[in-house]
Amino acid sequence: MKERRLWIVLATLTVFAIAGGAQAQGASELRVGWLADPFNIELNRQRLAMYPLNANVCEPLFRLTHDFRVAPWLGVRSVYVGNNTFRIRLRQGVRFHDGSPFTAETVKYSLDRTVRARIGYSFLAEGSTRVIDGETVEVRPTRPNLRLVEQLVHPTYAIVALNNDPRMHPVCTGPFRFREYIAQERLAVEANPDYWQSPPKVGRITFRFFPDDNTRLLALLSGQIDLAVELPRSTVRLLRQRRDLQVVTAKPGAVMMMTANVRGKEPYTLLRDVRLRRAVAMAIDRTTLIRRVMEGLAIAVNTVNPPEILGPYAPLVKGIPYDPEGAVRQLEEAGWQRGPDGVRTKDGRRLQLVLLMSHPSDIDPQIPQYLQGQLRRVGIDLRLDLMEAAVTDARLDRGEFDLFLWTPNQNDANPVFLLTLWWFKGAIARAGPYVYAGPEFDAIIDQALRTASIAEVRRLAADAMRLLIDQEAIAIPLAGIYRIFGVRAEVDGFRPHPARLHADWTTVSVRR
Amino acid sequence: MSALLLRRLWSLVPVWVGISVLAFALGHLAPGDPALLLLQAAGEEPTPQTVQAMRRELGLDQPAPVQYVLWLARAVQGNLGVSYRSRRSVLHELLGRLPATLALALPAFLIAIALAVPLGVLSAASPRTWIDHATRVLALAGITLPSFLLAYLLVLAFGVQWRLFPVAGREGFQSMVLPAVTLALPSLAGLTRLVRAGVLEVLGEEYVRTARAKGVPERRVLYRHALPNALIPALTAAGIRFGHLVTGAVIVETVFSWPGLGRLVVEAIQSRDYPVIQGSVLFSGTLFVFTNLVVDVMYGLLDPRVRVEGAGLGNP
Repeated sequence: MKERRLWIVLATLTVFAIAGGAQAQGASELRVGWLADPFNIELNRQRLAMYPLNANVCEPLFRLTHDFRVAPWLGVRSVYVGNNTFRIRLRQGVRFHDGSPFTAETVKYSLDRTVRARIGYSFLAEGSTRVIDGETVEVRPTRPNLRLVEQLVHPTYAIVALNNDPRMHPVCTGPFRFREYIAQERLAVEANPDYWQSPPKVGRITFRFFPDDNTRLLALLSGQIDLAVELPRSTVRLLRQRRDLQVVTAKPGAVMMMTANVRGKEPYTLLRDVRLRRAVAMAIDRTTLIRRVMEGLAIAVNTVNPPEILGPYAPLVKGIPYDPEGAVRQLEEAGWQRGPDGVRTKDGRRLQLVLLMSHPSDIDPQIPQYLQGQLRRVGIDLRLDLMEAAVTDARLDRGEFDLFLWTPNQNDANPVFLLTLWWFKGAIARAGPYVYAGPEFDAIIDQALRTASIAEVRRLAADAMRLLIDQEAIAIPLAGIYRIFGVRAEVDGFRPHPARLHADWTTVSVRR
Repeated sequence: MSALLLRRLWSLVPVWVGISVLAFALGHLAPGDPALLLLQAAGEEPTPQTVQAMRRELGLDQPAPVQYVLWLARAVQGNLGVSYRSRRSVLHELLGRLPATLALALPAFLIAIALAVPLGVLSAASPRTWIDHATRVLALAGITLPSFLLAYLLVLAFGVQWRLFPVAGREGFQSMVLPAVTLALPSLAGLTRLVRAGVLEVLGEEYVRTARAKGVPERRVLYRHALPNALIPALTAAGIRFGHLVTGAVIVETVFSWPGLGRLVVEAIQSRDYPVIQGSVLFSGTLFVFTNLVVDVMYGLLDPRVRVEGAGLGNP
């Protein structure tokens, strides 16, 4: 009997000894629960600790502010000197993590490297960056691109030390130094005590990769991590009930929207008719979508990117207001009559549209179901094709959709970034040829790319969106989306950036 | 014994060829042109000329049977192609993830075996007692509970509520406990039922009755006479289970953020990385074939009748 008790005690002690280290934690370490490992891609394109997880190891020449403006950073000033060329004055006295100085040569090396690695999107070539003197560079894209400075805020254009290969071990100027990366497991960075601004408040940050949303949430609840990024909206109610947790939201940095296939081949030709596109836009009650389906965790927007980026010109884009009667009028004018099952028909063809969406994604599956219900009320049968990402990509490539639902992010200060990426001539987005907005739209964007004044560019972007959204209904914005973070009560100073690729970890502290 | 081994090996060849055809077909039935995908993955803007050149380089301009033979010839030499996503060799990708998977699968297998045998014997030796009922409930739960539910239940109890183990991630020995137990439970349940049924059946045999009549102690009857014979069907199941543990841990690896083969396959599917998907199918199939071979050999070692039949001497 005694022997058996002894065994029970020993077994219990063993379990606790094993488990003892489970919650071990460093005194000034911030433990962040990230999504799936974002760095496990082709080595040449890998930007460790920079993109898409920005661990503040590297810094670009300019910073993207929370209201999507350009602010000085390693570059203190930029001037357009004509002939598609920008002269950039550099900050002095900055050193890289290895002690080497930040110079004009390092800027040239870094920007040329993005060209060699084919990771930029600003029409730069190896000779585009020219060293003028120790503190000045000139950058001249190969095509007219006066949006360059707004694009240089992107982490892709971060500055690395001379001859550094940042794919595996970035040596930069940021407030944190690269320490360790284990694929699929974690990325760790440590505070840079010699940072040229105020040093960070935590000594180390470990980003742990949790591809499963529920696991990330459970890790937060258990105290295994201090901060969980991008939690699903459905978890907010639970998080708000707990005293040991806070829910922190960013300002909207993305817009959930639909875009119409306006140049599709049979059977995806219905939305070539602008009246049908307008009917779709009019049939959707976006206020109810945000209040009920999204539980108030989104905002109403009429633009395809965060309205702040358009400044005073955002109100020029009105969107197409909810008007179910108007939708019915548009459909009847186009010759679509209600059939016996409530779905409209014309010349024997049912009015069925295919909504393509990647699933799983950051869009709750209830949202397409809501859209389906809304369109059904005006006599449109919406078929939901919620496809795995690879299939979605293939179908976008082939134009096999009527409507595509997704949430693109705005990650630079360029007001025409998304417009150029998706609806412009030669757009590089997958569905580009099928959603192309036409020559009138191109003319506005062309002008925006050749205009130096950012205020004028904002106005042009608003003009382009009026055409794209208000008149042609090629894009139908549904809601401004913000990211949701679960943060333990011991964490202070976390202020998430609205843009996904931009973060400031220096202000965060942890009370143990 | 060697005759048995040879016969088994020979019989596995068509199975393996079938698996290889399936793996090859996967890459060809999947949407998208591999040449185009490879160029896009490399960040290039594909032109008809570059796509054509890449198709030639990959041998995609050859008829499908020729492509299959070329692919198979490369595969048996360990060349499973290059991942579209990481641009590393598929074999490198698979071998890179294998240690993490084995780090879960082996403990899970040991847990399952170490507990299933005593529980099954105990349950069979004391039928209709509370031990028997408890074991059967445990077995039923292990079989019927889906892995993801079991995983979350364990995490909620031991990770969130009592904070004994990390919820997820690979952070030393402690982090292996919950995923290994989750992975082990369905195998443990299945094997326990098999051992119980096997022992119950054997306990009714005449030679067991004889042993008891001779006054052999009950423990010796159970472990010396009954168990070795009862274990034979369980052995086959255990072998198949091991294959499942290595290749079928997709859900467990996802829930526990465990960087193993299962996660690799999920990522490959999500990014249309067909060479990795093909390689994984071939690898998993080969592992199952190999495991079956090992089981067959062990079967022969444990049961002399199999050796005799395997040598072709079993039938008059």
